[in-house]
Amino acid sequence: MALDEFWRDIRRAGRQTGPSTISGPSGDRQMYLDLWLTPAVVGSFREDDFSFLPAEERAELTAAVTHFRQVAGRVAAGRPATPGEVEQGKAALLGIVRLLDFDRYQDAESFRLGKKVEHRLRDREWPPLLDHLRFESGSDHAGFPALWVWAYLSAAASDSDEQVKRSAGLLRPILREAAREVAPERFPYVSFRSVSDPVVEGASR
Amino acid sequence: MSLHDDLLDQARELKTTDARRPRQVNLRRAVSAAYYALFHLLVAEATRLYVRDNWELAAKLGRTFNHGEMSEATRGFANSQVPAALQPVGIPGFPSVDLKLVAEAFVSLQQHRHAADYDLAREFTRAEVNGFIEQVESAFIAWDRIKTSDEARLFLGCFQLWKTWNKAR
Repeated sequence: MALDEFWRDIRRAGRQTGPSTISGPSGDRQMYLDLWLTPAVVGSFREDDFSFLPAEERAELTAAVTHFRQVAGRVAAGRPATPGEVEQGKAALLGIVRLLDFDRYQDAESFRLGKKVEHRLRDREWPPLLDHLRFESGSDHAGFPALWVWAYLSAAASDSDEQVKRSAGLLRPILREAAREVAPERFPYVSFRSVSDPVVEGASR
Repeated sequence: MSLHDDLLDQARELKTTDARRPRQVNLRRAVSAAYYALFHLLVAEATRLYVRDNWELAAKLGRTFNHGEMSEATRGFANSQVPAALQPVGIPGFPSVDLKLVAEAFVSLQQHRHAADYDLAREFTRAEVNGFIEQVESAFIAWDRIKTSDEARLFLGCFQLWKTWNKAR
């Protein structure tokens, strides 16, 4: 699916903006290969694949992709990108990465479903106890399709163990209902965290 | 106190064992204890359908229940799926909100327990474990409201008869 492909291409490109280690007869060298700075990185983008986004968000993403395509397109074939082109390219790629928000959506499907859940909540009224949500899709331990939802409680909604319990009790049915409406074929696993919790590097869930 | 009440207490204690920076080992064991609290509550209730006065017999009967079959049945109820053989349903509002809450809690905690015991890439936080314990506590309360009802007995029966009762006739 084109959305999956675009997602993977952007994630891969984001990791390639740093130096690569090249092994040769005289040892390892660090080189900037700029393999990511090419219009092909956004080649699988189709605006129609993002019809689940509100018009404004879709337009913003399309504009970011167009901008990156233009910057990458200026790099002549057969020569390395100039430092100026690399910096422009990084800024343009970062614009796309910011919109896809890989920290909050672990995969393309959870981006699609997560956005729909969030919009459903905003349409009704965003729960004031809730700071933000994070999502991941996949199969659970029994092999059934699942959607994991991490609900980050605001500081006030999580300032004590009892407050966390009260917040969880209030929010769980709301979040489960929204997730069920958006993805009835997936079992929603809802967990609660606090915005005050320390960030755990490398642990998505 | 019963085993299931003790397990829920243990979950609460493990969650707060480390005053400041909770260790993963204690948070993970708390998740596991919370799941097993609900598991043993439901097994005890299912066993009581058949045996009430003989503890040794009840214990042996309790060993015949397994997590997989219970998971299949509770997942069905959590998805508002009534076993095929029980349709059309003669109980208004079946499954009730309370029964669905219990079923959802079981399926959810089974998944979280699996992650707690086996997924070492996963990090648990105290707030998260608080949420899981709250879910089990709510399930205990919801179960208490419906435990003498026909739907509760049917639910318990499904732990061992789901496959049979779910066959279309």
